[in-house]
Amino acid sequence: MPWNSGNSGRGLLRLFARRAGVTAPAPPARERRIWDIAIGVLGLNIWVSFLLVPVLHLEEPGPGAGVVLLLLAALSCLAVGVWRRHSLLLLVVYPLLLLLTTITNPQLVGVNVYTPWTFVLVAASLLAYLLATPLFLGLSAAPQLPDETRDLEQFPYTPKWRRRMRVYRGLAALAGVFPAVLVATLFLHPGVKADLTRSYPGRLTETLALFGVLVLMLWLGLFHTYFLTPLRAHIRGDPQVRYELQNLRRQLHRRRVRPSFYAFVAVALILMMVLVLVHW
Amino acid sequence: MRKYFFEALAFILVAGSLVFFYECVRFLARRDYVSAILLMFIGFAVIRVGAELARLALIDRH
Repeated sequence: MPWNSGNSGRGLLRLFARRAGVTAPAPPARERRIWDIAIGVLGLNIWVSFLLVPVLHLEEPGPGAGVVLLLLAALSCLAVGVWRRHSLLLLVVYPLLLLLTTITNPQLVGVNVYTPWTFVLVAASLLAYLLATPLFLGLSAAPQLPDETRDLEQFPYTPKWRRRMRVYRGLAALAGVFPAVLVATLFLHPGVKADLTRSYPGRLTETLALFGVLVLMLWLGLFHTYFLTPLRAHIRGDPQVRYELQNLRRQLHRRRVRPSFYAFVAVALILMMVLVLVHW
Repeated sequence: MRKYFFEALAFILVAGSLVFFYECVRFLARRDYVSAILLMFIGFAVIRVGAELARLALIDRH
């Protein structure tokens, strides 16, 4: 597949690969195998720590057939994804299967399974997998370039772009922190569990599943609106992105905050006052 | 200097909005839906203000 084809699904891979300096000739088969193994090991690590260990520690009557089926489905998806170097399987279907297993079996992520430290470990493993997989896939998909091409990465960033990249990295870091804190609050906070048990007696499992979905939807909305949009604008070679960049350039000439800034400050203050009045 | 101030403030606001979402989940657990919804929208407003300041921080003055 050509590197600059119009397939927007490869945009993220191109971005990661470009950031990793992939403008050199295509890597040899041995290096590709090593990257495949690295993806497989990272995926297996998250599968073991996120699913297998909690399943093995389930109390009686133990895991049902559905859980075992989902475990095997996730593992098969990982194996096929690594074998075919398929980004959709590795970056979308596999994480969704992990999520589906825990949403349908909330006891796998209960306070009896994870301590805060093991949760941090699992969250770090998941982030490592989600960051390393597109990077390694992008490296494997590097095209064969003519010898006379020159690597643009040799030129240092200007201060403007250094600042821009710092903001992007900050957004990317916060994008990882937000879901971790929300999930930890819902599933691991003893106070939340006590409140849920008191508020929804006898329906703790169902409530946890419902709230898990709500937290996921909240996070997806936040991620799309406030994290993905500015990061996506960084990817080039797409008419939609060029249009967004033109809009952004027009906005950058305004060196004052837009009216929406004052509107949102006012909304936040009014809602805080309402909240205080509600609890008066 | 001003752009670094905006950058820091934007980071604090975006990160600070997490507190509102955290409290939102806690209020949901207590079945206080009105407060949870209010907190969620406060979080949205704060993160939006942070994004606006991040935009200002990115303006190239040279």
